[in-house]
Amino acid sequence: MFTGLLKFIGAAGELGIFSARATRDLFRPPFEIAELTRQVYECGMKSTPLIACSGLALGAVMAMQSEASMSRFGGQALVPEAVGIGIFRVLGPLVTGLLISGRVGAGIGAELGGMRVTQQIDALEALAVDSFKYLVVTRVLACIIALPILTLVMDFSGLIGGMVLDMAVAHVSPMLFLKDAFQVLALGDYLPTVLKTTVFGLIIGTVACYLGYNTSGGATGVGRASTRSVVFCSLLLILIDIILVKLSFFWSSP
Amino acid sequence: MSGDRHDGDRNGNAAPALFCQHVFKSFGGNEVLKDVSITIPTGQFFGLLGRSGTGKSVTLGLMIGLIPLDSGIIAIEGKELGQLKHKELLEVRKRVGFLFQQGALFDSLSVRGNVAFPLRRHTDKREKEIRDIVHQTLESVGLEKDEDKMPAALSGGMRKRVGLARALVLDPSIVMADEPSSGLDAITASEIYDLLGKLKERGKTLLVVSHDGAGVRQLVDRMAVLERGSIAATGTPDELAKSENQEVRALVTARER
Repeated sequence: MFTGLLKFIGAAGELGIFSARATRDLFRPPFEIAELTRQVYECGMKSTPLIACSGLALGAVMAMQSEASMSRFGGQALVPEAVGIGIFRVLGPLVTGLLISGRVGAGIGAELGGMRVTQQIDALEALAVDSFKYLVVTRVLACIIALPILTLVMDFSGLIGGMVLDMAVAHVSPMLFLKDAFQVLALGDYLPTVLKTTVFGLIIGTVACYLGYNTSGGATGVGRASTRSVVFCSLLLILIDIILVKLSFFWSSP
Repeated sequence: MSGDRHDGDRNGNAAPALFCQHVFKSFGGNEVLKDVSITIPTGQFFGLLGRSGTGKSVTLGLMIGLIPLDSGIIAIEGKELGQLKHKELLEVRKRVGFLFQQGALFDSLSVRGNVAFPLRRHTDKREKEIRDIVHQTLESVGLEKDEDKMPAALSGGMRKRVGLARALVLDPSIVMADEPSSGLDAITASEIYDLLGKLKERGKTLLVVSHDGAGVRQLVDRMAVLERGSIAATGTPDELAKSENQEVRALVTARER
């Protein structure tokens, strides 16, 4: 047990150094613009259908649940507000983070792990390319850029999902739904929560890159890196979210 | 030989292309290399032979700075790798072409993309010029018709030839090849050796690591045999073929199976 604890502390320390190096190199030239653009496309654009569809479903489910719960107290008119606040403040950022942990985190872990075991990372270095900057920094930055945008996609598609459901069930007009939803949302409700997803992006990028970049043990190691990426990213996201939600209350009223 | 200095000597002799002196390397308590010293003058073709697990690939990894040294000196064209910052090391690596055992081609890029990669990274050439150079380089390894193929669609021999084209496209002065014939049939292996042999006309320095003694013998000027992490013998192929050490003799004359 003691050895396990030491191993955990050692790995956490290595991850900390890795993250610090990635953060420092974000601001150091050369900036791999072409690779960064490709990664933003891979992480961001290609995740948009998943996020939009999930947002629609999430909004619809929230509206359904709110409708069922609030009808007990005659509060069906508050469904747009409940959906708006629920998605923008709580669910949108976290669900986006978790979905991206699964899609992008696993992908980065497997891709870099595969490159490591097939000596492609060594080949980059042998070709006089700084593999850390080329592979790690670009992916971390791509996650940081993509997460807030994807969160907005999730938020608005969630609102649309809730609106469609409310239209179908309670025959509420779309304009009234949106007006009610946005009436209770101030800038302080969604700006901090969207911005906190940059931290989610940093976590997903660094953890997945750390596990992939340091893979060993052939195909088994690649699979392990991919699985661990999802597990650690999801766990860290949930834990960090608790801290960030508390911090965001300083910005806006709870 | 250029002596025991990595940066040339008092008589004005140039620094050797590759220099490695008193090199030690361990992995987790397992001592892989013990006091290895090799000097390869510019333009020489050098073969490092050894059985599996004797530390040949580790030596090659150390020679280009992919693996950190425990102790000793390694220098490329007079530049001691241990003294260089990572950025400076990358500059030195531009002078070296490295052929990996399995090719290590980038899966996400086509054959053309792989060979063009170093040119796009390190030169200001226009796309048309890059395309022409890539075509010529692939022609020199007999793969000009496979430019659009992806690495997954290539055979082992083709992957090595693309790897060689990629290693040569920046016209490096030194070429390192890790087991260039492993996993290939005799004819394909001989084609790879022929391609490496042509580098002699271009004045390149070659370090080839292999366990295919008979194949490498035809290619190199000098060779060394690595045995249990140490250099057991050094000399010309003919000298080593007559060595009193039976294991050295067997390795130098052995053909890959």
